[in-house]
Amino acid sequence: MESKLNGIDMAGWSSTQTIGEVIARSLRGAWRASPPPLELTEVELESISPFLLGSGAGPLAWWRLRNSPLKATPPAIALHDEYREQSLYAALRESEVFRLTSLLETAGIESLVVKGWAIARLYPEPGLRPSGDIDLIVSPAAFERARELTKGFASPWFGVDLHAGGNESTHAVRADGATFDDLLERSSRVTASDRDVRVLGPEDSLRVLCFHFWRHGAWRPSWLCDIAVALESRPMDFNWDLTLGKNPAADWIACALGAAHRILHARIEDTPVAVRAKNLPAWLVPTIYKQWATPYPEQHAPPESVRYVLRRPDRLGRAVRARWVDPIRATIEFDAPFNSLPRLPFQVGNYVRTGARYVARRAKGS
Amino acid sequence: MNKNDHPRARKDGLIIQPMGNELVVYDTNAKHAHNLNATASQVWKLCDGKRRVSEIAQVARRELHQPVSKQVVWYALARLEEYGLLEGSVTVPEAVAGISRREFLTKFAVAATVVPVVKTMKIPGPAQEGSTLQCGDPCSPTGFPTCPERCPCAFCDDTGPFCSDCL
Repeated sequence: MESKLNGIDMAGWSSTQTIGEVIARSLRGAWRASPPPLELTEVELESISPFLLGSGAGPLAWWRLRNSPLKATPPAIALHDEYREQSLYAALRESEVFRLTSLLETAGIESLVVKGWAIARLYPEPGLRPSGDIDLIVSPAAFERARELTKGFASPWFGVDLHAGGNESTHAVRADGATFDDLLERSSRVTASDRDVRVLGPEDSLRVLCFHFWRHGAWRPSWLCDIAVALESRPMDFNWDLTLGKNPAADWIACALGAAHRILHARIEDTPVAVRAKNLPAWLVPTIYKQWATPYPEQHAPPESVRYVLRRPDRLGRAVRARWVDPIRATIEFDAPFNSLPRLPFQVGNYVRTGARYVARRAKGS
Repeated sequence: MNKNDHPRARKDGLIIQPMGNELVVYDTNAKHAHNLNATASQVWKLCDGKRRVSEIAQVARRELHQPVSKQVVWYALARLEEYGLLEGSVTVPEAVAGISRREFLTKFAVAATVVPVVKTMKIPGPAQEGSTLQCGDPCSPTGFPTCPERCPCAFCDDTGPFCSDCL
């Protein structure tokens, strides 16, 4: 094992498992009120804690550690502190979600909260999940008006990511034929602190989480925990046809659920994906583990624009490397299946295609 | 009803989040955040303006399964008042007023796990993955995390970097 991994000192690492595998072990069942006992050495915990903290999975790891012999060790204390901080963010985010949805409602705009707060409420405590942007879906007709209103929203802590719901192929919604009215009809009303907020229905939410996970190269362990908690807390009348049925990318969803089972031991019995979960392509799980060894958001940020880099030749090498995508994102970008074929052709193809698009755009003068 | 004997928790302007048996509280007026440990949280929750200090101690003992004495409750009230989490003020008995945690532990032979703790937390800044701009807004060239993911920060022309997808 190299002495430094992504700038983190790995001296003393003696596990036969990779960092990603040990991270997975620390998070199994962490979304449950009573997670299974944690078997982790102090050296392993010390080694993975920077990765957990960097990726936002610290609170989940603390949830498993809190009743273990390791709970008073320095890395566990740091994870506990992260849990406190995220609990604070969770409270602030809920307050801002109410304020934002009320603002839109006053203007006659219906909205659906997706990911973030909507998923955090499924966990035993909302602070277990890192807080980020507030993601909202509104109807295409109301999108511009909603956008103007949210510009004046000015939260000191959270950005707002608005999406036009229905017939939009962006990963955030992947309605795949459903209109906004369809999403609204299937949505759930959540009451908290005497306020009512609409969240995406469980079938649509699970689909969005799976696409989101793949779209970003599966680099964040907490996203797989989101899939696990959404899967295990699905209602008795969960309609798998709405999540999988007509969806051309149903196998991507099945593989995401399969990954949650294989890596985090999420329960998939009595689901249509149980068989697929046991037949994931050999490259997929190791790739996810490898992604988990790059825990910092800036490691996955969009690359700097070519025009900018051309003025800064010292950044050219970095820009070239930054455009080489991982096997998962290459598969998604090409709308390709998760099968046993090598991923290198998709990665090369994606690289060439990105360059060709840029050249074409420059030729058009844009 | 004597306010001093029947303390009341402040609720106005506070955002409260339970976490296990602790609480995090954000004071929207003072722009401060506090973490209350299990004992401090329990005492605060029991300050309903109707319970006497002795009743608070009795209930807290039962709820926490810990030896919570009246002195522990007074100590908690002193800390809570210090951080603006009580309505009005309380007059803490001289024996408890102004003493440090260490002195309190020694003087009253209280277990460290029982001592009420109210800690100020770092004032939260923008959440880590928050993007605060919209597509078309100016941004910084290194971009992250100011733009929405569907339109990262890019130079599309010579007027400056904007959130755009012209990569």
